[in-house]
Amino acid sequence: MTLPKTIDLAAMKTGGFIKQKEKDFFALRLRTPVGKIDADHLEVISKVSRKYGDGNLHLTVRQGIEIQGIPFEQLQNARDDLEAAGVRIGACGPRFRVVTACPGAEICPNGLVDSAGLGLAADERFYGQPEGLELPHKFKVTFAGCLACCPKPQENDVGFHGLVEPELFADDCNGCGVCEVTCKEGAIVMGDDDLPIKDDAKCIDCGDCIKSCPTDAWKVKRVGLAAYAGGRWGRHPELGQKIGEFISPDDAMEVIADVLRFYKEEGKRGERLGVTIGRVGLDELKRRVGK
Amino acid sequence: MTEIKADDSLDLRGVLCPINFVKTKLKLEEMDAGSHLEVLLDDGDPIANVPQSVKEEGHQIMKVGKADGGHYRMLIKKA
Ligand code: SF4
Ligand code: SF4
Ligand code: SF4
Repeated sequence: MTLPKTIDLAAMKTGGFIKQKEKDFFALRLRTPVGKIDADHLEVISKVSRKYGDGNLHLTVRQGIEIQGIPFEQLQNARDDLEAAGVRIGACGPRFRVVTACPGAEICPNGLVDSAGLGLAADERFYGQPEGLELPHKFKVTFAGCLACCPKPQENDVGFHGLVEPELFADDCNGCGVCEVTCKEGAIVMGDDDLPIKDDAKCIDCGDCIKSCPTDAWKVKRVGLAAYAGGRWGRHPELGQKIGEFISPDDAMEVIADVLRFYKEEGKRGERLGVTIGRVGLDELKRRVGK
Repeated sequence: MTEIKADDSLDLRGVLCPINFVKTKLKLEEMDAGSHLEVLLDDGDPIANVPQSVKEEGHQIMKVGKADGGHYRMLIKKA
């Protein structure tokens, strides 16, 4: 029998250990950014659950896994086994949480941007206490590949979705009218010359016309991300407000960094970003983002 | 545009996605390259999905238009 090791209290402070209702039992939260999990890691997780836990795993709403029913004295052993196999431990508390994302352009036919890749990059750079910053409260970030917004960007402290602006190359158009019936926003009508006319005020840059055009007459003018800030769930839900459009993937990382700086400077302890924005003003946040 | 005559037709009104596309695909497989198939599609999901799927199969959509009954007529040229 392995002797119970003393628990590393410093490591425990970074979170990942969640006290269960039953005395002296904990759930161990794992760090699985964008919900992408290596099959080999899953086997290790399964073994640790059987060895130290009660054989149950919980799939969290933020694409994470928690290993339930680990007795206090086995926490360090469970953690050591996981980390030795490359499975990382998650965070709780006032920290930059594991980034979520949908599969995005690499996998989903609707994807406009590589949301999963962006999510992994953001997680790598900001996870935990980014740049040594103590955060006032938890901070959640997600990336969606398109306007369907499957991972709910407007419910996160900072959320992104892909978008694409279409441009018509009239010489390639055969006047079929598919784009007119495809556009769910009613932004396209066929003109008398059998060429589509786009109403920019109605267009939301979803790119459906580009995908549906049989002759590829609608082409991509520019692709990017829309950014939202201040969204949250909980007892007082609030949707994030748009702070930028057609942001490049590289600039998206800087948007996160800028918003974090704003939150660190302006946020009061225990208040989510949306509350800070409500107090300080959305315009002030926008002024400090993308400098 | 000069009117093209369809060589065959398929009435897919009341047929749900993705069965409507599968039927279109099977029909096109029986036809000769370069010939034309006309399909009737319902408004909503069918007209939003079927043209895109037909395009992905490599066929050409020559015309889509709204018919009197609120459904759509789509003319496809087999690749
Ligand atoms: S948000 Fe768009 S790209 Fe991402 S999974 Fe949903 S439909 Fe696919
Ligand atoms: S991008 Fe979307 S909303 Fe804009 S015209 Fe095309 S289909 Fe319509
Ligand atoms: S779908 Fe393409 S070819 Fe057809 S009318 Fe629109 S732009 Fe022209």
